[in-house]
Amino acid sequence: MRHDRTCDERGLTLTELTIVAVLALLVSAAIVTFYINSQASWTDASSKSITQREATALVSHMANEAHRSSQAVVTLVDGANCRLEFFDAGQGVARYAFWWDPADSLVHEGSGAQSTASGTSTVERFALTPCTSCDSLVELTSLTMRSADGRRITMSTTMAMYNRASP
Amino acid sequence: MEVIVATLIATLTITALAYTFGTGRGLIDRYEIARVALGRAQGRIERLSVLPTSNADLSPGMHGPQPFVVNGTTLGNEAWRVDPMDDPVTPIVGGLRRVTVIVAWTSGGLRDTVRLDRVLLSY
Repeated sequence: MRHDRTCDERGLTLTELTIVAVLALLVSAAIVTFYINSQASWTDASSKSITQREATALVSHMANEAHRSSQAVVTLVDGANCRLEFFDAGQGVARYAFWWDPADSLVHEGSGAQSTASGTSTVERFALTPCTSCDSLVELTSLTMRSADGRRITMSTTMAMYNRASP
Repeated sequence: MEVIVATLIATLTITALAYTFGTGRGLIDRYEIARVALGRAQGRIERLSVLPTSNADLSPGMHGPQPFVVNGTTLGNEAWRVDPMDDPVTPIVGGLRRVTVIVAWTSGGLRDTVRLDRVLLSY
């Protein structure tokens, strides 16, 4: 009588099953680790990029408002952080202002009672200096923003006020 | 054989993906300095725009260089060129001047430049 051995040897041994399970576990762990690292890297880069764009947009907006103004007044709000007010010629009320708000550590902007936050990134430093040798420039000495993952973005520039009488 | 080919393709894919992440991060860091340089160049042009033409900083030719400092580290320098500009259509005595501000720096072995120009009135 012929005995079919192959029929009895089908399936997996415990050793084979264990090896497959361990290899699958290793591959899964590698994939999950790669995914988590990729996600963290993407989030980090994205939040940093957003903060960069917010800083650039704020600087650009401040320069545009400066160009339309005749005079700027800088006052300290808290420590080194400031409030910047732009005035039209001969006007005693500011036409537009930018200020650091200690309540939320954001830079707010607006005219009169209407104001809005200039972005969502925390502002650590909003320091301005009026030009000492002239009255037509205001210097943003430091705008330091912190992205959602804690990275700092620092910018600076100088803005001219063109809404003045010709020299 | 199939397993080897699949492993090779998977390895290449993951390596390429990791490379793109690294490159993306590198570009974001690179643009961060470029944005700072742009702010610096814009500030320089604003400063020059309120000066009278007789000021030495607006005399024709190259001016600078001045250090370009980011977070306390000097990464490069800033210079500007003033070119007289004759525009027959513009009826201004003394004409116009084209100011070109160039901020150049080296970061991560890469040389980068931001160049910004504006035409200023002579007065």
